[in-house]
Amino acid sequence: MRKLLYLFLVCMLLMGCRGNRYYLDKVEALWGVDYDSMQYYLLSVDSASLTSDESIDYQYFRMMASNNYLMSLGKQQVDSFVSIMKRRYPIGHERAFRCRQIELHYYYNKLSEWQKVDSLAHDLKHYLLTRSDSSKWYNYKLHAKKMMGEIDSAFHYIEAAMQLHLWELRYAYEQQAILHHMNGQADSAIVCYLQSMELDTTQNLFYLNRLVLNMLVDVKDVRKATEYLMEVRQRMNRSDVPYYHLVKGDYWSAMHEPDSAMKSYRIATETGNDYIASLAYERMGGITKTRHSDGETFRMYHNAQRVWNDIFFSLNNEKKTHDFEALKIRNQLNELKVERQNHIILILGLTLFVLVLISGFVFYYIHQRRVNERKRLIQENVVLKQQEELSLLREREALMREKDARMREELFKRMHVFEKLSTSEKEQPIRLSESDWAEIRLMLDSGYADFTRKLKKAFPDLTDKEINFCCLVRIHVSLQSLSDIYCISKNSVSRRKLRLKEKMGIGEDTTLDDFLNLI
Amino acid sequence: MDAEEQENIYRKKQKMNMKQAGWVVMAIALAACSGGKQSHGDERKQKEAKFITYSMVDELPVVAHSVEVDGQEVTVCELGLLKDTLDLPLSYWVEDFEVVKLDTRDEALVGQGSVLVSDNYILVGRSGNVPCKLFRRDGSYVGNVGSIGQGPGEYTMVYDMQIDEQAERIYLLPWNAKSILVYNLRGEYLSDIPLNKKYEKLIVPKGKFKVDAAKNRMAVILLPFNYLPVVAWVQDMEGNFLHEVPMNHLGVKPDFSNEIYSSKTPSDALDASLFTFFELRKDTLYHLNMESGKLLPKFTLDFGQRDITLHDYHEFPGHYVVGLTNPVQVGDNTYQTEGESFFMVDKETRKGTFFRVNNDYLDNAPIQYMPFQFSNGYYTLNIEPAILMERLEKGLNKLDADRQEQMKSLLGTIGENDNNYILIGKLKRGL
Repeated sequence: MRKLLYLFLVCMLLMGCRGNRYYLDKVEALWGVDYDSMQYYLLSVDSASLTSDESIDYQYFRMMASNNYLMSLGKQQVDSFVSIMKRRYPIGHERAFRCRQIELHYYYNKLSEWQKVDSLAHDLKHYLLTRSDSSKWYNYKLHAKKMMGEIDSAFHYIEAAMQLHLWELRYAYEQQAILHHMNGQADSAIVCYLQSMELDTTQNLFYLNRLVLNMLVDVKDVRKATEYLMEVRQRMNRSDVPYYHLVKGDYWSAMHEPDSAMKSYRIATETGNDYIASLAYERMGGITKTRHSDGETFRMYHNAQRVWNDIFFSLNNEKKTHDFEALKIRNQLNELKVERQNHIILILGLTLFVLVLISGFVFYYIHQRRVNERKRLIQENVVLKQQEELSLLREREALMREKDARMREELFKRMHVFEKLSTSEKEQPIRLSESDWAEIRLMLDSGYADFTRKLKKAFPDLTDKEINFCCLVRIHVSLQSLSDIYCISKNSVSRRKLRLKEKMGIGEDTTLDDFLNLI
Repeated sequence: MDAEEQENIYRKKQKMNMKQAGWVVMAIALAACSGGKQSHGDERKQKEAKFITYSMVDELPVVAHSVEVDGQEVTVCELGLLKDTLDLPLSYWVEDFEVVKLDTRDEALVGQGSVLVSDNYILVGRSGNVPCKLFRRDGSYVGNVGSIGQGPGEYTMVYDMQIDEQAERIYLLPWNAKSILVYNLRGEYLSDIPLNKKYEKLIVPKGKFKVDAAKNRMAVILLPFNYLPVVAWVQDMEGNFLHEVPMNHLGVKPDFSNEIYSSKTPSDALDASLFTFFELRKDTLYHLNMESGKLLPKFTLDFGQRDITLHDYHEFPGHYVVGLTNPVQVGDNTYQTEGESFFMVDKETRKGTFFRVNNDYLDNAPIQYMPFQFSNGYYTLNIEPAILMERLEKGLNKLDADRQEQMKSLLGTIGENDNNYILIGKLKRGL
């Protein structure tokens, strides 16, 4: 019984534990639906106990979910994974496309092997699944062509993407500006940059501003450059101040106005943006270097280094905090799992306890019934035994009575008067004298515990003759003898018995003989 | 064997079986209970504080007593006697509340540095690569006070500042300092005041100071790294010690997670107390008397039966204020404090209570870390315009009618691209 209980508990516990397959199935189900839940299940996978199939799935999901993870892998790992996926999933299956996309993304972002990127993108063209996939595909092609120096082809892809409305216009203009710039077409580049900035709402603004300004300076259009700078000043907000002064410093530098540049750079270092401050210090160092002011140059570069160190330290701290938080969340996740298992154990335990309790009650009930049944049987047994004993006693009593009667009869036979009564075959009148009657009465009184007194007491209406008659009946004098004694027929004797019975009030179901035998 | 004997034997057997079954059931139940027991941390529920109103200040209980230590009266507060929490408006502490808009020129933009206010100037402390910047009380920009760096008059981090309008000087004490940097009221670097000529290796890792230019002396109390020879001293402006206080028992492990606080409240002394993060110990608020050079204990906290927690002391003209807080780990080697609560003890009556402060001038929102926003006799807050706008928009309805009008008109003038605003309230005398 106990072993069964433990086995039951272990089975339920195992049922509560969820395997890697379960988690991977949940990840697939939640992909694109709920990122946080998907990440939860992905983190729940025990990577040390994966089967080979599960390992492929796990790697697939990790690469799809985390760009950082993908970029951390080596080329061979990615190539090996992709070739396994290509063998496993036929063309047309979503994963066949996705693994190729992973490969393309990897080569694009990490290896920058542009020929390969171009070739891989070309292979993917007919398997694009979603609009987002198409947008990325055109981007891959654009950058591959650009980096391979095929500017015209790159333009073609930008125009195609714009026609299909796959990209934000801001981005398309920016890419056009870059291509024009690469082609040495400064005016066209500037136009595209300005078009992009009209639509830009991000911090890229000042990067583009600097590009435009540099291009204007490069083409030696000072007036335009100055106007442009003033225009930027009108449009900027507080957070743009460091950028603006950096750009302004670059402008003054380009205009060979180092003092003005230093002033702008100085403001850029003191307006709260560490990254801009470090760049500004570097530029100031560059200016002081041209002045052969070594001490000043050293300080500037030292400040730049110091700020970079602060940025690095701050980022490092952020990363450590982030890692700590991730570990904390992972620990909390594990604690939740443990808690969930504890809850399951608790529920199972309580259920088991309740079942055991119910079983106990049932068992107890059955046991009580058995006990009661047994008691009843025992009691019946006792009763039977008692009845048996009683029967035995009665038998003995009957035997004793019989013996007693026989002894009495024997005694009676030995008595003188009994000789007279014993007439079985004679049919002669029997004359009983008073002394005979007295002897008979005495005989009955002594043999049957004051028979005549008891009879008289019980039935005061009985006459002496009737009592004498009863005595004769008591000692079982035969009908014939009675007939001879009373000189009446046997029928008359019987009628006399009946009359006497009526007088004594004896019921119809009892004879006078039986009644008198009981006295 | 008769029926009764049979019955007894049967009953005995049944009892044994029931006993065995009972043990099994109990074992399973215990396993279930221990399996289901939740492994919580040591969570102690705090009793609900009884919040009492501002008008009941006079009815507060006495929570401190005085003891004499070497002829010096020291106020000892018993933590166990503090029960209630008082909600106080900022107007209980300060008067003449004003919102100063700082100059919006690019070169005047400030970061989230600390603020030091004097009668006619506002000094916003260093923040990141933004150096200390000096403004007039109307918010107009005067200039940078030094710059970030390691050259003459330059600094990387500043721990304490002082504006001396009479002497027309600004003093800055950097971290790991061997001297105090001196500037004029245009922010121009003038000179250094050497901090020590006596001990070759003595530097001030973190410290608080008070310059009395009229008497040509200054008091310094430093964070007492245990290998340093002294914890406090009074010196002249050339670095010569006039009085010094040896380290003794005050030494702490050389750890920059510790702090030294000063409210700069007493006029004839420099008040200071230590805050040690990892070395939990009972601390004391001291006064360094500039005349005698003695470091005198003034206030301490008796935790009684409770565990010592992180705590910090602050001195107001009429009160001692103590902050109790808990450490929380946010990184491998990074900790913060959270859940700080404050209580005050009246210096004269020794009555006290926990308290919270709401800014009834601005938006009736609670003021976090209230004592840290008081220094040099002023309440100050350096706030970005976007945050100020957001607070005013949310809190207008919580103000009385007059205040609401004032804040509404202020709200209409705030621009998102403005420089920071400085909130200033003058500490009431006697509080």
